[in-house]
Amino acid sequence: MTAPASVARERPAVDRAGPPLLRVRDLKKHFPVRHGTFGRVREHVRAVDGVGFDLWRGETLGLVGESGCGKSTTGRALLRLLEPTAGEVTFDGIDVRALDREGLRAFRRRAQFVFQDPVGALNPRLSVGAMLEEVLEVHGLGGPSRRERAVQLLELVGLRPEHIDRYPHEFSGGQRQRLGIARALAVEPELLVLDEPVSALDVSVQAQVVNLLEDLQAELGLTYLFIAHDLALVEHVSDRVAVMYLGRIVELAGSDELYRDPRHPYTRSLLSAVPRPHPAGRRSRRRIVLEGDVPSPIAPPPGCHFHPRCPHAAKDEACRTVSPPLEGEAQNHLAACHYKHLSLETRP
Amino acid sequence: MSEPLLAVRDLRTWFFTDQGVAKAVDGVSFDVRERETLGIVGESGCGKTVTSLSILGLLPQPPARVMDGSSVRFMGEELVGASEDRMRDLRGNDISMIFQEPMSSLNPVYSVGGQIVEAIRLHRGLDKKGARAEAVRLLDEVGIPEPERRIDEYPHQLSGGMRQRVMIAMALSCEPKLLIADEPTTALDVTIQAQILELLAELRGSHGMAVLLITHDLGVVAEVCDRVVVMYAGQVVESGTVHEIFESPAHPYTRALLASLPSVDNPGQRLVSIPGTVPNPTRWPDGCRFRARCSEARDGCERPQGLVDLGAEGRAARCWRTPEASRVGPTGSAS
Repeated sequence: MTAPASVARERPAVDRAGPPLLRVRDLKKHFPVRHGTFGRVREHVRAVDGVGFDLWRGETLGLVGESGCGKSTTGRALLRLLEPTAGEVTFDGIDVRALDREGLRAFRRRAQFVFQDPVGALNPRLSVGAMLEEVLEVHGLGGPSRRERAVQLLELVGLRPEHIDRYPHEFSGGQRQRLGIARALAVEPELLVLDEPVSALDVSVQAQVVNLLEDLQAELGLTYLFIAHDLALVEHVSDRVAVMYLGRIVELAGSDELYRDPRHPYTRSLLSAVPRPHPAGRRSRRRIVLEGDVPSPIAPPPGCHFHPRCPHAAKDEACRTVSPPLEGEAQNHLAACHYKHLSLETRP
Repeated sequence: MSEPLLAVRDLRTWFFTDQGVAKAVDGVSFDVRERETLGIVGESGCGKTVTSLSILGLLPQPPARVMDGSSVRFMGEELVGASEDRMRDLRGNDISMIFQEPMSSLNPVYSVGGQIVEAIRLHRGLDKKGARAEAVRLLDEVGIPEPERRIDEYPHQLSGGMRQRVMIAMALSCEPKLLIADEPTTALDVTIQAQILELLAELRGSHGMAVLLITHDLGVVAEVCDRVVVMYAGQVVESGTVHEIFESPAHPYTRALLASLPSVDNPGQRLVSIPGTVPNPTRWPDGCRFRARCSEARDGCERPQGLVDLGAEGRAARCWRTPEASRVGPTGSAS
C-alpha cells in the first residue's frame, strides 16, 4: 500500500537558438489616481514599471510574486487587454502595440488569456456548446461543423460530449476551469497567458488541471506564460521563472537554478517563507522573515524597490539611490541586486 | 492522561435545506489538549469550518441543527445545548476565534483601538483609560509598529497582514485558553503568512493557550501543528501526530492529498491527481465515502465503517484496507 508512483515528466527541450515567440522590453503600465472635485490626476500607480523578458516557442515562463507586484497587469498589458503605457511587445515579429482593430483580432487568435476565476469568466446564460460556437463564429472558424468542433474541444480538455448542452453552474470548479481552457483553445492559439489558473481550486483538483495543461502543451506545442503566487506550483510547471516585486522583475532564471541558488534577497526570503509539507525539517530550516509590508506602488522607494525590507548585510547607499539592472554573469540567470554575488550575511 | 481541554464526540451538524438534508459534519470526534496546536485539514466542503462554528455555537439554527448525541465538552463543561448567554460568555473569555478575512470581521466605521477597547472593557471590566493602555500593549505584542498611532486608525488604513494582527490582538485580549483559527493566513501573501504563523507560535508559548487551526494547506499544517485531523466528506478519515500523518499516512486520501502537492523539494514529477470530485453532502455514499475516488478501493469498502485505532494514542484511520480494520471487523459506523 504505497502512494501511487509519481511519473517523471518528459519535457521536450526548448529551442532558444532562434528569435523568441514573445519579446517584451521595458513594458510599463501606470494607472492614474484621481483626486478632489475635478478629478485631477496628481499621481500614478506604477503597477508595471519596466518589465522585460523573452519567451520561446514551446516554453513555459512562470511569473511569480505577491499581490500587487504587477504580475497580472503584465499579462494583461501583453495581450493589450489593458493598453500599455510604454514599452515594446513583439510577438513572432509583429509589433503588438502598433496593431489596429483588425490586427489585434488576428493577434488574439494566436495569443489567448485564461482567467483565474472560471465562474466570472463564463457567461451563465450560454450553454457550453453555444459559448464555444460563439467563439468560433467570432473568429470565423469551424464553418458548418462548429458543434462537432465544440465536442472535440470538450474531449480535448477531458470533459464528455454530453456536457455540451449544460450550463456553467452545473459544473464543479475544476470542470469550469477546463471549460475556460477549452474556450481559449477554440481559436488554436500558440500562446496562452494563464493568470492564476488553478489557485481557486482544491489541491487534488489543482493537480488534475495542471496535468491537463502539461498534456496540452506537449500535444499542441503551446507556449505558456504562467502567472501565479504559489512558488512550488510555478517551479513545477515552468522551464524558467521570473520573480516580480513592485512592478519589476527582480530575478529571472531556469526554474531548477532559481530554486536551488536564488540570488536576489527577495527571492531568497520568498522561498524560505514557503511552508513545506515536511514536519521533520521544520526545526532545521532557516526562515528569512521579512519586516513590514510591500510599499505603495504610487511612490515606490528610490533606488532598489526592495531596499527598505532587504535583509542583506551588504545593503548600503547604492541600494537606496541606484536602481540595480537585471543582469547576470550567466545569460540564463539574471538578478537585479547590487550584491547578488554575496551571501546575505556577507558585507563587501 | 488528564482530561483534554476540548473533547468533541460524535459531532453531527446537519443542514435542513430544500434540496435535502446536508450532513456537513457527520460523526466527528477529536480532542484538543492544553497548550497544543491541533490542525484540522481538508478540502472545500469537508466540514472543517462547520465543525469549528458548531463548537462555538455560531451557526444559525435552522437551517443548521446539531443532532442529538453530539457532544462538545470544554474544560469538562458540555457546550451542546448550553444557553446563548453562557456561550457568549465563553466566546469572549475562554475561547477566541480568528477568521480568514479580517476585513469582514472588523467594523469599518470604528477605529481598531475602539474595537479592542470595547472587547477589553466588556470582558475584563477595565476602565476606559486602562483598557486603552492594555490595547496599546496588545497591539505592540502582536508586532504592530507605532501602536500609539495605529490604535486610532481604521481597518481600511491597514494592510491585510496588519488587520490579521489586530484580530489576533482582539482574540488575545481576554486571555483565552483556546484559540480557534480558521484559515488565518489563506488570504495573505506567503511572506506575510510566515510572519503571522511565527507570531501565532510565539503567542501560544507565551500565553499558554491551545490552538485549533483549520486549514486546507498541508504546508501550513506541517509547519505549525503538533497533531492533525484529516477530514473528508463530513468525517474524520485519519488522525495522528504531524509526523505520523506526513511520514506514514494510513488513509489513501491522505496519501493522495500529499502526493498531489507540487513541491519545491522535488520538481519535475507529474502530479498525482485524485479523479472525480467530493460527493454531494445530501447523498453521502454508504461505507467508505472516498471509495469512488480511491485507487485502492475493492469489494467490501461499501460496508459500514468506523474510525479504527492504529495502536498509538490518538492514531486512527477510517479505511478497510488497514490491517487493523480487517482484524477488528465491522464496527458499525459512528453516524
